[in-house]
Amino acid sequence: MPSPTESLHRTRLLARGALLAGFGLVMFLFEALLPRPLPWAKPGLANIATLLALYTLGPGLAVTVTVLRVLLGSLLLGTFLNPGFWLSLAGGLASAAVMALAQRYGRAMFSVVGVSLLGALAHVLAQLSLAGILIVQQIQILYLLPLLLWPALFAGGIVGIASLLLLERGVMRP
Amino acid sequence: MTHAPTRVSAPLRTADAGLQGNPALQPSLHQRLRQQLRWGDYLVAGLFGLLASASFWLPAGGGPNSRARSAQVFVNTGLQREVDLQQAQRFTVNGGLGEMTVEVAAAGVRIAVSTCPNQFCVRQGYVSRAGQMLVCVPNHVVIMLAGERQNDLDAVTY
Repeated sequence: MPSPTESLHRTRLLARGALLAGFGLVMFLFEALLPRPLPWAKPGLANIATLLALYTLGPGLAVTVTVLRVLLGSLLLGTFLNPGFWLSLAGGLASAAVMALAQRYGRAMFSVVGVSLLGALAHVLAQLSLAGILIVQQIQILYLLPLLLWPALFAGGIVGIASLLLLERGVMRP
Repeated sequence: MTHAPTRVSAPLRTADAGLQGNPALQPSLHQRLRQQLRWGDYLVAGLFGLLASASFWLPAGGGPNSRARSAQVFVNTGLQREVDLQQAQRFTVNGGLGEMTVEVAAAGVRIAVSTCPNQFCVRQGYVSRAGQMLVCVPNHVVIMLAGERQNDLDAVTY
């Protein structure tokens, strides 16, 4: 039987995780409405939710927030179990895992911006490898690397800076 | 037990603590970033940029795996000669209408000159990938590039 403070703490984590999952979902849907000059690249604003969860709630909830966003977002957009859904899930999981490791072991080295950039890199590499294995099955898919890496660098930086400013303002501070 | 959130680094209190009224006293975005960013951030950004730039040159050569090494020349469905595509050369083939000049170069193999009326075979230009063909119907000539045809996708979408 958990103590009252512990159960309060768990309730708080649950509520904040749900809030961040909702925030990520809204960002994900908002992004789907934005016009995209480069159709294969999007800013990844939903990753702000994952980063905030990682820094204020811990790695477990960060992964949960990411998976919930991918699942619910694909259900709302009608892409559930599409090829694109699997790419999205792989990208989300890989970036969440890499960001959790970077945040855990690179605390003295990186701020959120560095962690976000590593997450963006992991996202691109995971999606490209999965697309290469499942769909294209040709090594020439590596030609897409610069087209994916350049936008990812900027998107990761912007998402990182946005998360930095939000954390600095004390979002989710108890 | 109370939950202590992890901080990015030492948070700037100025934004929260009563300076809202005077925008001139608030640190600019640039100043805040300079204060918050660590060396690893610049390192990751730099390496990321380097990787993104380097990836322009990473996969050199357009699919050498599917390039054919040899070709077979058929006239009236009979095999007339076998050609080594590694070696630049020019030779003539006697087809149904007359002589035709075939050229092998670095870009692949092509029909350089043909006596046929429509010149479709000449206009096709060089072919180089395994499984591709040069065909001249009026001349009854078929040149097949040896090897299994690769899965050359025209487009992939998802």
